[in-house]
Amino acid sequence: MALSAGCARLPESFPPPEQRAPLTVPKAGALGYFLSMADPNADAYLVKDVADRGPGTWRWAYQHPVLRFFVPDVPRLKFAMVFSLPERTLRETGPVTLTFTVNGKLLDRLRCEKPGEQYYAHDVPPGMLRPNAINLVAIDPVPVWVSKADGGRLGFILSRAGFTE
Amino acid sequence: MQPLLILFGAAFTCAVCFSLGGLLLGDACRDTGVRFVSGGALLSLLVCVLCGAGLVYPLVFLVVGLLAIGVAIKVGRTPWSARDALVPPPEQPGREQRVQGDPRGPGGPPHRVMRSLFGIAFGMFAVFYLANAMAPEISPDGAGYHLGLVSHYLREHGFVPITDNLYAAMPGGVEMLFLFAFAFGRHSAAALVHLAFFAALVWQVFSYARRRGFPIAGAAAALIVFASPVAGIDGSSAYNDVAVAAIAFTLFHLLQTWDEERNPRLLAAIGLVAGFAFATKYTAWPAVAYAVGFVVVRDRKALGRAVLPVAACAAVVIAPWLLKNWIYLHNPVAPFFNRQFPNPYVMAGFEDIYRKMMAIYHLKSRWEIPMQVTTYGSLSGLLGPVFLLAPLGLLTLRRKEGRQLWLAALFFSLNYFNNIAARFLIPPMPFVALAVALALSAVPRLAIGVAMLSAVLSWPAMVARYAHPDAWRLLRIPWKEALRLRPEEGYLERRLEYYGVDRLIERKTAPGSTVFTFVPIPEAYTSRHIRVEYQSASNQIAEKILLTAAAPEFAPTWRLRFRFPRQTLHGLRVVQTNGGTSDDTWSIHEFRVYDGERELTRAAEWRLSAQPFPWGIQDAFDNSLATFWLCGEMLKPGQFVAVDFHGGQTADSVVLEAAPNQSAVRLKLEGRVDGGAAAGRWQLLAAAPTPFDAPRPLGLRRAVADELKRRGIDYLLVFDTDNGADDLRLNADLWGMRAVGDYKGAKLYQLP
Repeated sequence: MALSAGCARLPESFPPPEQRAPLTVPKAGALGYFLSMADPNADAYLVKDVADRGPGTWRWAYQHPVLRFFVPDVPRLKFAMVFSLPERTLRETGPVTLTFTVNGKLLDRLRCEKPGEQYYAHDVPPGMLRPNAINLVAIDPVPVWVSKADGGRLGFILSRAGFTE
Repeated sequence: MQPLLILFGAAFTCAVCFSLGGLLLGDACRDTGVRFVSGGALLSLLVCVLCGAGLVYPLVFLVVGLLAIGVAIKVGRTPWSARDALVPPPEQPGREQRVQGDPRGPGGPPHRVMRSLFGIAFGMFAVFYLANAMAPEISPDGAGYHLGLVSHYLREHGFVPITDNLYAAMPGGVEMLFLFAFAFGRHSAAALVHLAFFAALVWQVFSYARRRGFPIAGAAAALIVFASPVAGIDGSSAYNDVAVAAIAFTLFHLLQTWDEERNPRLLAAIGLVAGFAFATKYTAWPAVAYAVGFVVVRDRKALGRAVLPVAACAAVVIAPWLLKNWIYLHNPVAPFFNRQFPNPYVMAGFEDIYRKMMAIYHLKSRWEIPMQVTTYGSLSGLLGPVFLLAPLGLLTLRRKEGRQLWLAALFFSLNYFNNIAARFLIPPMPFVALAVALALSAVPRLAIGVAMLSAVLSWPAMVARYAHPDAWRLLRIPWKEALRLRPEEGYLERRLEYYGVDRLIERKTAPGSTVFTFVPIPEAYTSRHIRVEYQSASNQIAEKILLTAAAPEFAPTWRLRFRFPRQTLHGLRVVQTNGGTSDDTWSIHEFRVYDGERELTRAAEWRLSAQPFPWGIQDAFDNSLATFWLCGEMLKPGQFVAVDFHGGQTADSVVLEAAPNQSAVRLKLEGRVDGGAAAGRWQLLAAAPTPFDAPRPLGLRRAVADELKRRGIDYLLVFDTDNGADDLRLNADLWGMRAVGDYKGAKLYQLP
């Protein structure tokens, strides 16, 4: 019995199943609700004060960085960001406070005392976002690191940012 | 009233076993223990057939049982007609004097003081076990799946396909007897039936030895076995290891008797009992080899003709279990050997992990096993420190009985290293105990002393002094609970972990609901359908679907893009090339084919395949990021996912949407090209993909909840420590779920 059961072959193939309704994901090349600096389309999200170039997965944000996102109409979103503060700049500036504003309204303030990569997420109150439209997010670091050599100002390193559930 | 029903359920089952055993064996063997176990094999087969026929009703059991007892009374094969087995056998002229020496020694009659000592010791443990067996069932596996399945069969009036619980695929020979008793006396009646097997085992250890002229060794070995802490708790719970030991010893006893008397009537019983061993636990398969081998070797002169009835009877008992698995699960020996019998119900990768885990548990080295299984008890209990004397038993190899005992011990421990828990040593334990006692009985007082020492060391207060606190063992005599002078509810709440969760489920869910859980709960105390994460492929996939939205590393945010020159292809396949020793597996949420910016529409004539685990491949082509194809095995070179277009399709890239928790996977893309010398053959299109990230899709939690519901799950039972518990608690609205109740760190969510 065991041997004859073993003669049963694996099913060879299956047809494609019924297609489901897709979830909300940004279209490639278009402005979406989440920015990854690894995305070839990352520049579309940058309004001002973010480095034009980076090594591929992150870029420097300067004194008044502003990002833009196309936010779909979904019930509850939070703003999330993956960023880091290098030990070298933090040693000189001391703790850095990030002030988050969405469409000009204050969302949150975050005091960062430790160097290294950090994950930040904060619920966005209903009404602060414009659904199915472009929304602006500003993240102001205070203080910024000032280069003694050329006076350049560096805020923090930005890897990913945007809206999530 | 409840104690009477419990006692009736157990006593009626035992009486039917005795009666069937008497009818089977006639005068060929009058030993009470042998008759009970042999009759148990027949009753088990009968109940199994009734399960297959959908006739599991208490009334049917009552009629069948009364009929068996009635016929046995009519032909004089009742248990009490076997009472002459309780008295010593008559002197047989010409029979070899087996043991020389002290007339009160190995071959002589037991001394009155010794009888009293043994009587007290056996009596104390008998009361201890009886109270625990009759108390509400609180053993993890007994209250979990042994009686959970029994209760399920009773509700369904027989076997039904159960494809999401691997324990339902294990043979249930002894569970059939539990079912018979459970129909009348519920959980405790089943545990008492197991205790009856324990009694049959201990009795036979003594009766076998006494018939061969060494009653002191027999009594000492019987006490060592009876006092063993792991046998005690196992034998007074609805487990089956002690039953396997009783069946193994019965088989040994029958074979030895047949060897001496060559009564052909014994052959059917030998076959049935050997088959019953396999039908009770896969690990007892050597019973069949032992029985067949023994008869073939001993029956050389008759060219092994005696083996035919043995093999045929064993096959009759084993076949229903193989057949059931073959029909329901496409694997006669499910849940094992899934590579040899591939099926959608148990993944081969899970089997590998399961086997690896059972083979070593938490130990660093196998050298720790002897102390753990005899003394410390961290491997699910302890046999007792006296078993450290096992090597002494080798002294008996110079005599025939000793060689036979060790041969049987060897057979019944053949599988031990597949699962090193102490209870898997219970089947060979009686043979070893008897060999040790036989060796020691050269000095009778030594054998008695060691047996008494074993009893003292096995008493709960003493075990606590040397065993680990987590050792699985009996702790007290719950006589008030046994007699139901104290209500079951409170005892179960205190002593059975997650019993309160069962009550929560019963209160808050509708009958017929399905509850998914990461943690096994006592299924014997709920009528709802419980799906435990690790117990089937479909449950493991459901778990990972849940984590897709609950744990970032499982979210489909990883993209792998393969680019290749635009061309017409007849098929595409992604092949895994990493053959490392990693325990990683791989999965694909969506497999998309592009021509420029345009994704090719998945046409009805496309054919999808995968190796291994082809059954889930449609989930990688359903346009849902909540579902995925899961490989089902550890990474191996050559594993693939393929799509055959059944015609030419022009394409220039493939994007795999996947979760980032598979860093060890290495993939290449191959295509079947259109025309030319390579037509029809797989050609390399891209040696490696370009990885990039994508944002987590919005609405993923709700999509996952809907998918779980679509897969038949109505409720999630989530413990605070479970992966994803926080996300469910904080974002129940985004999941579309409603928390309907909680109990000590467990939350019950209703799916939308």
